[in-house]
Amino acid sequence: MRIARFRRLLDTYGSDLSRWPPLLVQAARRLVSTDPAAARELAIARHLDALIVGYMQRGPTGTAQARDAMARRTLAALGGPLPPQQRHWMSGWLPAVLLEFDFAPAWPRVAALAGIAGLGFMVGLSDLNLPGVRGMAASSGGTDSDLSMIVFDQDPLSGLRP
Amino acid sequence: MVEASDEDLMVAIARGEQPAFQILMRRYLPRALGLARRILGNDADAEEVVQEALLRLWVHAPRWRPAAAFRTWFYRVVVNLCLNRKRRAPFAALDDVEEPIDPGTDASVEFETRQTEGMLAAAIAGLPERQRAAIILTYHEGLPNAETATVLGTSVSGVETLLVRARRSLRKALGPVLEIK
Repeated sequence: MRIARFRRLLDTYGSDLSRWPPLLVQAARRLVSTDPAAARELAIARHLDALIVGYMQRGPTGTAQARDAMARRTLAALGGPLPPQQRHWMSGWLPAVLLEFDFAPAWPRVAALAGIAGLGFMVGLSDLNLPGVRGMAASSGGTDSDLSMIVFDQDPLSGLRP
Repeated sequence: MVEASDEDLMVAIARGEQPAFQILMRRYLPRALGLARRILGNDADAEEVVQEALLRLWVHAPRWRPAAAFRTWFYRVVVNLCLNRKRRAPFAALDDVEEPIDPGTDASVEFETRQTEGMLAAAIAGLPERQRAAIILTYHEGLPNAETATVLGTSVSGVETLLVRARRSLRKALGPVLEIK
């Protein structure tokens, strides 16, 4: 293991080697024991991790009273009558993963995509007998009158279109 | 009922049992508030997000299936609500409430410690939201990368990329402090 990869692994997994993939731990320990630069990188990473852990352990706000006040307000807000639970007939097979997504912002895009897809299927499956298309078909010598004749060129040998 | 597992409580909640909901709510409320507070940076938004997450827990409990641990699922709800939320209040570093200095410690050491924590707080506040969420889930909740990936709705390699970028940003911000030790 080289120092550059070791540095990258420290950034990926942190300084706690017990969180590393087991196959990499032995190589990392060997590098640290033989390369002073690697040992220094590990020490820096441990210092950073200790600072972050210490900071996180201080709690969400500076005082215990503030944390208790947040909890009391949240409990009070939920203390009243609860809304009805959703027990739709489809709930037995809808995946729970849907619960955590907020679909509201995506509905316009989803609807537009569905509309475009539906239009594409209609165009592809329909036999559009449009005046402009009939004229183009006549001028090119083809007999097709559907929209595909303006999309695909005629085969030079057979005169057919795909 | 008090010693029931999260999953057993969810089964009871799915039957409409409010006492089970109260137990599960009190069990996860402090950690959910801490998680939301650290991601969003202000109390008001954090409280609203956690209230919304708990209401969703109650409303959709009949549809919940234990495909993953309840904790992972619930944290995913909280984190998604945080990341999707339009912040109405600005993000503020969490050390904006000073704690009194311990009279038994060296004042210069205390000052240096506070200065370092201020730099760290500012650096974490400056991270993009998903990188900040990855750091919080890793260091505050102690989740392994695989579980963090499930909570964030991404792959393990996606989480690793977030952590690499976040750690490099934090190391760069704290550079001189880390070198001294």
